[in-house]
Amino acid sequence: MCQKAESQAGGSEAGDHVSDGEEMEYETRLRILRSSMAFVHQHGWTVDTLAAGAEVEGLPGVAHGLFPRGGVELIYHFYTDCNKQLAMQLAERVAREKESEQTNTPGKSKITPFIRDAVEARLRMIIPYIDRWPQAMGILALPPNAPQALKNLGDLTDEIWYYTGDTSTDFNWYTKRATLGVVYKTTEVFMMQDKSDDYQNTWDFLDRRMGDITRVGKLVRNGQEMTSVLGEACKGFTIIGRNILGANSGAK
Amino acid sequence: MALQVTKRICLRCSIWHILVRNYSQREKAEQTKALLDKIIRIDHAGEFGAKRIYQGQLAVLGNTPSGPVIQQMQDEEQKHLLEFERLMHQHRARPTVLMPLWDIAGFALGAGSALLGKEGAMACTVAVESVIGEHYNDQIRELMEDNPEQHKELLKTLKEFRDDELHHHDTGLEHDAEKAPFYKALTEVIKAGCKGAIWISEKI
Repeated sequence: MCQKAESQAGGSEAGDHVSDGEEMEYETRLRILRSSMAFVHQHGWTVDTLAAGAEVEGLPGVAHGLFPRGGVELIYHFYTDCNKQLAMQLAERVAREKESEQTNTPGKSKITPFIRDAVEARLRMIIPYIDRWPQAMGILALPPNAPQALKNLGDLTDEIWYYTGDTSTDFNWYTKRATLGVVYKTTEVFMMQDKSDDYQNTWDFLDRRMGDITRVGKLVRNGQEMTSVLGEACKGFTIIGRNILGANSGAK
Repeated sequence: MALQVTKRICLRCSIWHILVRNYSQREKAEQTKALLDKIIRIDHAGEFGAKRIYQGQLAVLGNTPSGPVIQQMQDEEQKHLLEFERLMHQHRARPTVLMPLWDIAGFALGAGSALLGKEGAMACTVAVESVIGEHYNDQIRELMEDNPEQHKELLKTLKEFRDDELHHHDTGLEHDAEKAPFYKALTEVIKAGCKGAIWISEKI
């Protein structure tokens, strides 16, 4: 507590001094990561790539020591950078649709096409590095890296659902994101072995997965209706049974 | 005076870097976001749980003279719940994973305490509202520590809701909560349960 009070009191001096140092490190790391992307095709997602990126920035190759976990930090950077770009694209699209909706009448649900397009846009961002992406996926699957990779996937699905205007505040929040995460992951894996023109097979695969979700959603809703109808039916049978046994007559 | 001298000495030595937490803008913003996420998540879960508790109590005591009192308290909790849902959308906070659990557990606690009679239901109310009141106070302190200016709106909301919850607490006491069977044991167990629920929903 008193440490905080000290730092706030000496904010302009100590705070800037510390924050300048931290900010400089952060910005240096960012510059190295950005420059390293050009060397991914040569060296993959490794410290060699980071060293090459550092040298482009005028720093010694050993500056890759700024990244204690090595090549995986480059993958995280690329992943989160793509997520941010996707968020900007989706925000623009939502703003455009809002403008055009003021002239047209709102049609039927546009959520499924929106999500489908968002997943396609996000997967297309991998295409420039697709020769090395299977290596990245393998690295992300390693136990030390998996938690952060899952978090990145979670952030991605959250962004997409947020821009569809999702307002759920119960467990559906999780089921929506989990199902989208599965769709994204399976489509990504499919894309790795897709050799068709402009990855058309991948987009067809994606359409089929989106269709699956819609079908499962309808199934769940029908199931819920069915249970409530069965519940009513059971109550009805109970009343019939009690009538037969004379339990409802009240007469002795 | 001693503080100033110590500060000046520490500035010049690198131990300062270890002592002072990093206050770069970016990291501070991340910390604030995490704090808001946690606060909104737990408050949303708390209001939802409280609403379910009152619904459970109404299921048993709805047709008795204490029905209207419980109904009014439930309506106020519903108002709080809607406000936290709005805040959840505004801050893009996530709900707790255990929402289905609190759905069932809240109703069960409400109905169970009401089966002990009106006094039991009121005792449950007193226990839950006292924990919630303390918890709101802790959150208000955390927000004041973080940045009172930035969180002015939220602080006002939390203070208002805390006052409502303490009003419920007092209502419970007025309606003979202390005459409930095993009042001390009952309230202590419910308080412990609530604190456990708060702890876990803050995490996940």
